[in-house]
Amino acid sequence: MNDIMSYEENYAIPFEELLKKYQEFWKKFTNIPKYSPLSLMEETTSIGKNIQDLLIVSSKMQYFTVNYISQITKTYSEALDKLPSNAIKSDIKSEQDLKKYRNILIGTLEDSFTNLFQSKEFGILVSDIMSTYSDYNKLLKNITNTFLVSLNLTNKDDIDSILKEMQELKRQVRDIRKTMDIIISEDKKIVK
Amino acid sequence: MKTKKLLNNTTTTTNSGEQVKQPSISIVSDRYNEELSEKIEKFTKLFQNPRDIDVGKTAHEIVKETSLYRLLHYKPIFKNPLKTPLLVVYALINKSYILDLQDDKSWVKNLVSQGFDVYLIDWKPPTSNDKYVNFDDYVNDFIDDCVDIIRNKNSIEKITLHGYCMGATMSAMYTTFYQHKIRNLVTLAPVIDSSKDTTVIGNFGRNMAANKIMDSLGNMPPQLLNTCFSALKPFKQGMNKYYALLEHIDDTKFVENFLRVEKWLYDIPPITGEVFKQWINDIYKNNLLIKNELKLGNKIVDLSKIHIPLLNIVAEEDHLVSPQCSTALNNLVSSTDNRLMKFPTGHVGLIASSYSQLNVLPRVGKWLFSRSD
Repeated sequence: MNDIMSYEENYAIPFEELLKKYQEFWKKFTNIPKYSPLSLMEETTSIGKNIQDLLIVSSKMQYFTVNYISQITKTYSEALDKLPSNAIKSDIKSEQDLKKYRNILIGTLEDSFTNLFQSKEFGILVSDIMSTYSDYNKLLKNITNTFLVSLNLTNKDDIDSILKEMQELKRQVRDIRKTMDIIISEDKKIVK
Repeated sequence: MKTKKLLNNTTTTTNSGEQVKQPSISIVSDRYNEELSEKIEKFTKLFQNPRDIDVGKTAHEIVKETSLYRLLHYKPIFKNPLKTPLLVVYALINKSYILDLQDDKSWVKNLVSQGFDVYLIDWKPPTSNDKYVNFDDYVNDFIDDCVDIIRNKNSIEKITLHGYCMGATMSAMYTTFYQHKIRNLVTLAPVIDSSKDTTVIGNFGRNMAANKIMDSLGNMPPQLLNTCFSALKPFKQGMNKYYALLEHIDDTKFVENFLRVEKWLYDIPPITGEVFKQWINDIYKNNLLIKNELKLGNKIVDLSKIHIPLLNIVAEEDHLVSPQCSTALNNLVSSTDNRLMKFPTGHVGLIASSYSQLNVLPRVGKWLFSRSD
């Protein structure tokens, strides 16, 4: 098969491109004809597709997590580099010196990590991790939902749509109640 | 006096290749070592056998309770408290007992002792069934309900609305719609102009895919909230506080205060999905509040419509809500009686510290006193 590459060839390709190639390869097995008895197997193939997506999302989670950890360790090393030389050169001779050194160390770490956490790039990285975690969650939910539907059991989507309608109804009742309160108070003023 | 060498001299190589000498502890007394060992033992026992710590002890009654909130009324200590009652609107983050943490650091108790008739909305944790409850419900239903209850109970037309953090933002939103029910607006560290927010929370909020996350999780879970808050001053307030506890382990008062704050810090309820989405998208990302484009239901929030007396209180060392983000409120309202007070303290120190009791509350009380008869 022309799609098989060596380890070195794979390693050189950017992560996103690799994921795309993986998806294109497996798409051949998950695309089913629309107008045939095979279309009745849609549930099974959707589970297959969700599991395939789960593997992709797991790879993404690993990628972003490794990136996150490397940012943290890099910042820690840079913070230690920044420790004022006078704090390192002098020996600790008393409890006060120990406290002073501790405060300098904590202050330096604090400044470095605050700079990291305030950076846009880190904000985007955190968002990517949370998004990927949400994608993972959603795929698990999709797989579970498919089984629940086939077992004729209520799934989360059914419950969510009911909850949404209920909340809308509560708001309408609230608005009606407020309008009635206004009418009643105006009626009282007229009567007076 | 005997001495011991605890560490040998060592050198390490930094990333830039520089050889750096590590400090050594050359002379430390036995007495220090003994004291330290005793303190570590007490420290460990404290966390292995945590005792129950009391919070929110100021005498109060529950006026109304629903699945999502309780309206508390603090028992006045004067026979005739000031005529205009005060409703405190807490935030949807963590629990409201930070405003009544302990006797000598209680915001609400202090206000009661100054003669005010104080009520508080204590938000209850939402469940997964409440994921579609949004800001429209919190502002136009729950807060409005509490305001009407107080007005009817006290036979009064207008009350003072007093919010903290997200509660202050909600109070400002509420006032734009129901100004005829509000006599004064007092805001503590409100989130108003997110473009001026330089905090870590602001950075995370502006880059967060809130819709995607909430569609998957339902409500914003406490664990994720804690992860975000842990990134705020992780060393000075994270690690260092445990060192400070170790140093003051024999100070009962210090330890009890520490345990109360510690209890509050990790007592995090979830936030409903819709509220969280709107908070991140409309307030942090798109900054709709200052553009007069924020919608609650079918109504636009227009802060320029506020013309009642406003007192805006801001913490200059606030690392959760940048001071500039909060002070924007004074420039947006149309109130002629419009006051800004700044204090050199932090977000929580503004309401739950000795500094707050001695410096913030007397000035807030003085401002309110003349507007509450």
